[in-house]
Amino acid sequence: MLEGILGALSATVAVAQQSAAPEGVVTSGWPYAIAAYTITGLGLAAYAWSLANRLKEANKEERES
Amino acid sequence: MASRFPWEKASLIFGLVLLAIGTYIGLFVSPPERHMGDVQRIMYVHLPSAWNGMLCYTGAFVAAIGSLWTGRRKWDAALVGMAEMGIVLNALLLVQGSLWARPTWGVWWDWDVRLTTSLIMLLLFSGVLALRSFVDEPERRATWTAIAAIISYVDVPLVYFCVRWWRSLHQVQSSPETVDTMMVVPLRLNSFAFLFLAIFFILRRARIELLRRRFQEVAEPEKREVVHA
Repeated sequence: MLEGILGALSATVAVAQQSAAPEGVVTSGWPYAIAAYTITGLGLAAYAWSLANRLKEANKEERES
Repeated sequence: MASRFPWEKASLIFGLVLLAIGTYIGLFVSPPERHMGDVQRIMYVHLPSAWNGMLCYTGAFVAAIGSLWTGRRKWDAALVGMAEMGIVLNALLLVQGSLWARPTWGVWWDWDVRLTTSLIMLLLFSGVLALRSFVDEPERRATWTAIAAIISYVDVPLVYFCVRWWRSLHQVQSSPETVDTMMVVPLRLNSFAFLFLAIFFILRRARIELLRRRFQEVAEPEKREVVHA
């Protein structure tokens, strides 16, 4: 029930925002911007983690040889 | 252990500091774009990914020529580092572009010339590294990688110029003179941040490649001797 109320509220806000903004203007951009920054940060962090692991492995192999 | 490259740690620190400042200004200080609103803030990570991704591929192309010309393993290691970094940035570029396209174009993806050539660029360079993983002998592996990277690079100028040469949904390159200063500042800061981070990642990846190559040369003859014995 709470989910339904929140959904209705969110839809009402979205409609209000759309009607307040001039036509042709994107009003719901924040979630997309936040998603893009989050994915970029996670992607770079994952690559850094992968490199750290591979470097550790390569150092270990060299020590053992 | 292969020695650390000079400036490796400094690049990481510069990159992270610039990224923090650029992201803060991009998200909270710079104004929203008149028509696209806040979704335009994706530009401050989208363009740095694109520019640095193409720069990495260009570096990989130069390293490929150096590798073929001299046969030195440092060129081969640099090629691998730059190609891999280019792939990471290229993949991020496509995801960011998709997130920007949905609210502005109404679709997650379109077979537009800029998007398609960017996807081809990602697939080509992924193919270079995939091909590399199939070759065991180090000299042959370096040669094949260099040749494949040179062939793949043909797509990079196409990605850059296609929006001028053909009709595209994607806008052509903007000039800083036509953009608000508070939009140019985070864009430049993040571009340099991505550049310094890319330098750090490339140096680290190259170091791994050099270590692996050395290990292969030292350990594998021993393995072969054991097998023959």
